[in-house]
Amino acid sequence: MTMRPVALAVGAALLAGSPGPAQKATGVIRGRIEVQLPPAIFERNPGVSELGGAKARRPPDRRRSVVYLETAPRAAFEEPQPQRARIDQRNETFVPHVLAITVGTTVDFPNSDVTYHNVFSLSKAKSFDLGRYAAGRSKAVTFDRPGIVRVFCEIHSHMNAFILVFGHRFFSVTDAEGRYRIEGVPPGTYTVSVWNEALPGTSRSVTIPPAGGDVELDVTLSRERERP
Amino acid sequence: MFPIRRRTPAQRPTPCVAVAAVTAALLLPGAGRAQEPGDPPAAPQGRLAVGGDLSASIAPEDEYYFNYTDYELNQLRLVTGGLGASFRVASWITATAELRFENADHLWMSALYARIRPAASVPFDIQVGRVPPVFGAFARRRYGSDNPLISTPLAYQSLTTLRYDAVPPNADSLLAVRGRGWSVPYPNGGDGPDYAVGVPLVASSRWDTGVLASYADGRLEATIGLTQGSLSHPVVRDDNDGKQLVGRLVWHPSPALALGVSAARGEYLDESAAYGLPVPAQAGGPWVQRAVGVDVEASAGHWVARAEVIVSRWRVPVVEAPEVDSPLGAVASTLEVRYRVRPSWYLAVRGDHMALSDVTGTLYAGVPTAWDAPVSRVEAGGGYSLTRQLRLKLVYQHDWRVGRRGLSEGFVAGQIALWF
Repeated sequence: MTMRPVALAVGAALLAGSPGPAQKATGVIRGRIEVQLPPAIFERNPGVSELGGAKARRPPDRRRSVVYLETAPRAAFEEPQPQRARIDQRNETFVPHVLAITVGTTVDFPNSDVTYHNVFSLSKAKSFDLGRYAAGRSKAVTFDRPGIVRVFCEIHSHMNAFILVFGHRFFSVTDAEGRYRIEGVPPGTYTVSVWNEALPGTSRSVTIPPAGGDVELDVTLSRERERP
Repeated sequence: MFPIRRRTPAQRPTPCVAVAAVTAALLLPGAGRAQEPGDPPAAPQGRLAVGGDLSASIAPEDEYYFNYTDYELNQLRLVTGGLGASFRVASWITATAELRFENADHLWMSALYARIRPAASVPFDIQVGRVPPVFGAFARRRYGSDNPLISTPLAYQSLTTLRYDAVPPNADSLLAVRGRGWSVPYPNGGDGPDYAVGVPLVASSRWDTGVLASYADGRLEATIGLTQGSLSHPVVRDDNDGKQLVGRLVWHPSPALALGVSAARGEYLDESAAYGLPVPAQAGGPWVQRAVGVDVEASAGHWVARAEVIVSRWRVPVVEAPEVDSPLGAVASTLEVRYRVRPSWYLAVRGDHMALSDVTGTLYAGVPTAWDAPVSRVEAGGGYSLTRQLRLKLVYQHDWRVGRRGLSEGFVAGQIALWF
């Protein structure tokens, strides 16, 4: 798994190489991320304490990727509106498994199960522990620094999720077919990066012409190293 | 120091051919249950799950053996780990095995069983082989990742002066060795007494062998089992022709609360010890351990509290005067509280006490006296998570043993625990 917390953090701060003032004509970067995951030979054993009692669970969808601009255009630093997002806890699973947000976003963690959950993270970008709370209740966390935050449940060790916090709004989480779409990108040349929890990430250079328009970028992620 | 008679390889629990055979038989195509339409083909497309844990604990020498386990190891000076794997043979059957080690000299197959779910839509399982413990709340969370402290509650570790392979001939023999569960001298067929460790109330470091049936929905978990050994002496191969019946019921009236009750009845004295008794004494059998436990777990916010009381009674042979007042009883109580101060660190404290029933001999001026020395323990400390799967613990533990060998001892202990 390749994580790029530095890139995420620096992306917000770096203006060098980014285009000038926001222009009216903007473009769209869209495409498809193909994730070539090797078949999972192993999965984590539920642990001694759960031996014999493990429930059949649907494993998280590791094919979801996040596509984002490494260096953000100046428009990224317009005064952001307070945002809210949500990660539900259903059937002892975080839904969605991957969430991408901007800095300052507050994420609600409702408990939609019949059991207690205890959401926590030890990630440098955001360390928190919401304690145990019952079904029907919800607690929230505001993410104030860019980076990758791994989220777990202290009671159910198999539960996990990823929250990618960006300093700008130019990112997209792929859908079930791997499609993504980043809208409102000002003309200029950008480095587009792809993150996936299970595979090494990769980057590509993309240029939005002065007149704007759609740019298509398809990427295949696999275990094989890219050729220079 | 007292001599300790090491168990012979034959006495030590080892992977049993019988268990392997049962498990293997269940896994063979066509065995156990007829193949039905829709089942995976003979070459099963199962899924393998692996996991493991490793912990290393360090503490000063335990001069008075408060922390010795039935494996004759100090639980505060222990490197232990395990590697487990589950293989889903078909949608209705999973085979699980776990190999564990303690220090450099002790490696054993702690788990080896098949889990069968007859109907996918009904949360009912049957487990066959060397199966997970049923009795009590703590047995399934004794390893570094699930235990907020380092030691084990007294009920699951503290060694009494009862043995599974030898009996005290009279009450004085019993009273004479109070507080010496780590090295109990009883006659065992030889010229003089031999020394061996006594049994705890519940032997949590070893799993029993047998069949379990369990049901679990959101509110209720119920398990009943028939196994080869007893709570204090789980075995792979039956050593006395007596089976144990064990059950546990957990009710969750709310998500914040779990109420559990456990019960067990099983023969603990092995065949050679029972047959070695004088004929009149043999008539008093079977030599069973009966136990009942109640436990509660409550949680709110960053607090988790657990309490458990276990009452155990062992029927013991009456060989000669002054007679042992059979059955011998023990009550172990535990209260544990954990508070998570920050996402990466917590504080925890546990208080334990084990009380024992009285016997009357000529020792202690003929005054009824607890048959073994009561023990108390307080352990307090904290844990710091370097990562989600790597934790450091630092605790202070103080133990008291009441009675003739009244002793008190305190330790600072540390542990590093890793799991995946």
